[in-house]
Amino acid sequence: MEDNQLILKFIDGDVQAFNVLVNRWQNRIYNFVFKVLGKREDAKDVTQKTFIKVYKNLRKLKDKQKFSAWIHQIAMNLCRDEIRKNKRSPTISIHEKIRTSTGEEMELKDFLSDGSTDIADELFQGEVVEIIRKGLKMIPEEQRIVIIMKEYQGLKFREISDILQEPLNTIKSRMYYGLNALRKALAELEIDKEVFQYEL
Amino acid sequence: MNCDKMELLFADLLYNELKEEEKEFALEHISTCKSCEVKYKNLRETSAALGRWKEEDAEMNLIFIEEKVPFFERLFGKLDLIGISPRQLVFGMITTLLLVVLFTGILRTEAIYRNGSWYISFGSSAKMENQMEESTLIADIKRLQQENLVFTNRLLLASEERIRNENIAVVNDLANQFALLRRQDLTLIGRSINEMSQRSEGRYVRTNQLLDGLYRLSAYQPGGSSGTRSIEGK
Ligand SMILES: [Zn+2]
Repeated sequence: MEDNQLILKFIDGDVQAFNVLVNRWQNRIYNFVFKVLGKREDAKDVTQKTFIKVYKNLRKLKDKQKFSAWIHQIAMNLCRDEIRKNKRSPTISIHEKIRTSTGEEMELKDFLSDGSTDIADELFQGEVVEIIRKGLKMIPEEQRIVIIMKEYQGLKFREISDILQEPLNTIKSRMYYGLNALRKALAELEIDKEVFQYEL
Repeated sequence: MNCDKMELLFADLLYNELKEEEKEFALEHISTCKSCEVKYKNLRETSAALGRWKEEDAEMNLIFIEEKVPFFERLFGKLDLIGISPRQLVFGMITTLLLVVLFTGILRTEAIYRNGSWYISFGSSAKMENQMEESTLIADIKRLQQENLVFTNRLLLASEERIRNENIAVVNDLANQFALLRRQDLTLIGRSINEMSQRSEGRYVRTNQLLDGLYRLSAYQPGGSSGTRSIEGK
């Protein structure tokens, strides 16, 4: 059953239809929020809040076809609240401590520049995630959000423009400059070659 | 000139959101312009690198439940399950209260022979105090129960989001316990009433025996037709 049919059933009073919708979207929203916030616990919290908001306001959604953009917008706003609340630093330093797959703590830079072994082989998924997460945090938030919405959530530029209430061309140029900034950030982390050449 | 135009097309090209003719133009330009070719390659590489961050399982399972039923309806719904309708409950409580008042009244009635006369009194002052205490106690309990209900209700309304489901479970539990306690209360009250009525009956038997003895002592001959007994002394 399509999302918009489930929404109509829910508006008719069928809570079970809403649960199907939740089940269908919770992973997607969670991963989106996780990528924006970078913390799993916060991501779960915000995901839950998102669905409660959706539950309360779904009746007010005029164009049921725009559910995807709408739920992302809700999650996005809650993420912004969360960021404001925690006053997280938008950037990180390459001197930040990370935990490697063997459990030891070291500075990101040392970990990345340890030339004794082939870094590409050492990059387990967890560490790749860590590096990309840190790279994303090194670029401006407005670019990071567009990148996440496009790259991971697969939203159309038109939808992102609707969600963020910014002109289409602004979104596209944020994407372009964001990717370039990210490339520089990853290069600063001295891992561009290893990450980029993997599975290309 | 074309390179400036490309700046806006790169994003669309990368995520395949270009119209056919724009796409042809862009690819054509990239194939002839070294600078744009490098730019585009870098973008694709960065995008591919991002792709290595895979989605993970949220490990959460949100469930929403119907919650349009007001608190008291839900509470009475629970009582209904064990066969007590709200009307029965209220009626039962009022009847029991009335019976308790009535029987205590009867229990407190005493016939006393003093200074050559019979007096009938309804409870002593000490007993009245006792009764007062009892009724304030009952009122207190009722008030506390009421406060509990109000508080639970407020808690339920106030609790948003994640603890709502937990609270609903707690309230259901409370409702069950409430019903159980009510039933136990009613049973206890019933038992007490039985006991009280037995005691008062005993009292009456004793009073009658006393009266009979008194009549015999005073050699009183009951009148033929009326059969009523005067309680006047000799
Ligand atoms: Zn060019």
